[in-house]
Amino acid sequence: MFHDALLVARKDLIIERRAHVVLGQVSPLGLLILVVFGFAFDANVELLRLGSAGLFWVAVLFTGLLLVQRTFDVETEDGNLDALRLSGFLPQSIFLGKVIGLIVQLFLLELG
Amino acid sequence: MPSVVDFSGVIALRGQYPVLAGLDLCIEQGEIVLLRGPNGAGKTSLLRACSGLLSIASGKASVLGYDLLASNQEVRKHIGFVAHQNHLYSDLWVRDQLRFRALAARAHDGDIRSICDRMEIPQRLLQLPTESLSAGQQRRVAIAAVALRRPRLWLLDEPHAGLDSEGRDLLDSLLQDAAKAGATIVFASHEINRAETIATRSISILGGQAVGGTNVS
Repeated sequence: MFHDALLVARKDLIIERRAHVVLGQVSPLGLLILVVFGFAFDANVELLRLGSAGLFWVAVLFTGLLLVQRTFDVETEDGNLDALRLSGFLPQSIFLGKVIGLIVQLFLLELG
Repeated sequence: MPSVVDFSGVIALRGQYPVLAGLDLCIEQGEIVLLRGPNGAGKTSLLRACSGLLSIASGKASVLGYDLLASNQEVRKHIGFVAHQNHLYSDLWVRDQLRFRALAARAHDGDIRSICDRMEIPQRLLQLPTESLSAGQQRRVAIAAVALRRPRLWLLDEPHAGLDSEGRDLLDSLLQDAAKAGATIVFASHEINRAETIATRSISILGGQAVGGTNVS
């Protein structure tokens, strides 16, 4: 099960490395959310300092939602979900692989 | 010869609509069976039902000895399905694509080289994103990806579509060799003249039922 999950995660990460969706679309969104919060609080440094951790996680949540959408779009394109089901992978392996791929991408995003 | 596909009174629904309406069918190991019939007759639904991708509502359905009504998971490991769609990730390089399929099927890099040679996929294509390939090249990669699995049952839906004359000959030869090695082939095609050159039996599908069959060769 873990072998298959790691295969799915590896495949998703290679797709992201080739397509640069995280770099080109998701990271700018995260950055934009943080900038918009900055404007919303009118550059109130004290308020931003108090709420920065929460605002950061709100940005992570929004970008995470985008990543979840993206990772399942990849499978609906060209009927790939059927191929994945016919690969003999258990449904839980596919799910676990997707989760691992997403966690790695989110971690890299947060580091950025 | 043991039965690979054994359907009796099979009903499959898409929503409320019966796409297979009491279908009876028996296919034996090593056969190359051509499914023929007009659009909407149920050919694709039959192929999807055989692969376990379309759930069966009632009847008796066994594929490769697996009872599809009990579980449609196990049988999938032994099936290679070339559908209308190519089942390829557009952003992946061809090499990544085939390696993923090979690792999933516990095959090796040597198998990738071997099937690329067989389908005449040049090495330079392996380093390109799949989306940059022509429709015919993508079809060859899709067939190679399925062949890597060494399926016991091949299900193909209009497999010649998009292929040039040379590609069609390569596919026909691949399928005939697979049948000689003991695999069973079931394919739907509207290109009857070409399809009948490799088929051993032809079955007509109409209204979700098998309405007639003839031995071709």
